[in-house]
Amino acid sequence: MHEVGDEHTMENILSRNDEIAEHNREHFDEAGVFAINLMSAPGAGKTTLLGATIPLLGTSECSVIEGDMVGDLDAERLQSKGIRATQISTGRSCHLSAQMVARALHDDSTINGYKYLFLENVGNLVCPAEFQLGEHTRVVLLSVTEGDDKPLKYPVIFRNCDAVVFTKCDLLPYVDFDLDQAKGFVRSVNPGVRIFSVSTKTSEGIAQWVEWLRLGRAAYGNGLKHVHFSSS
Amino acid sequence: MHEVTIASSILDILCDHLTRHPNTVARSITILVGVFRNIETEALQFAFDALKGERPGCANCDLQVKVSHLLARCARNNHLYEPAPERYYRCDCGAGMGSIMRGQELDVVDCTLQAIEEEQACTK
Repeated sequence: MHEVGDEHTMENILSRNDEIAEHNREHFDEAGVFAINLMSAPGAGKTTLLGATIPLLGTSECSVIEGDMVGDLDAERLQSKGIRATQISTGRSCHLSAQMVARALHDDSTINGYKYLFLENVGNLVCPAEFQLGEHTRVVLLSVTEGDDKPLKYPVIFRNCDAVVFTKCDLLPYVDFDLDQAKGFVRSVNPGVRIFSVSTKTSEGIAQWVEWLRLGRAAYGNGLKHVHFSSS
Repeated sequence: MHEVTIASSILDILCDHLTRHPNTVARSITILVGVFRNIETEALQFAFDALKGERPGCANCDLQVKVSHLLARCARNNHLYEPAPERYYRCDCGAGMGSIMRGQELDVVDCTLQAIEEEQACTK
């Protein structure tokens, strides 16, 4: 067989997604927006956490892009609180992609005039880990009702993030969830990750989480291309 | 199923090569997949085989998958080790993964194209 074609060099299979993600980042940087990719299993509390977080950051300073396979319930929930939310229906796709976010950015009002953009990904601990969206930071939520072994069962997403937020911590007395063990499992796959334990019912941990976001945006404002925070 | 997205991306790359080499068809493409990616290789193979017929020049292309195993540096002492889920991805000293040296790849490493005249001769 006669081989035709290039001598071969490694080519990243997701290079096109990553190129679009880079363009998205350029838009975010130009607009002065700090973009946060929020990921979790379905029902871990992403939308609820945003509902508690955004009023503390400043409702007029935050915009949200909601990714769900079907419907716009989450966007409506946030909009009812006066939060700017744009719904992306991903159809059969189990994750947001850079292209989907790029399409949402065609509407300038999605990010212009805002300081924070939350990209609430489709509820899924597997697929979103693989796709860069152009975000400055990645956060994974794990609720205490899900099981403390999830960081070991889904190591890739817990590895490829800058912060882990344990949610629904008010339910700890009622579930078999060992928080210290879960934190240990997270640190096994991602030793430098920042960890928060929160409850939107009691407001436990919310202030620290919000402060971390503020610090993130402030660091971004100093010109860091990718913001990564240590646990200190 | 994101393997469909990834298979589509592989075919995009293949089609780029075919565009650069007119009058050829794709015979095989080899990819390297790290075990520390959320990729089920059988699902990827299935998705690739399902989609390739829709792309000109790709209908008879074989997907070859090479696997790269996980190798990382210990976060505490920087030693190289092979993190394993049954050991909670920890080093023997108990510390977790520092930098990952191998096992996160998702790359095309090779593709083979064949001139159309040759392909037609082979099928006669």
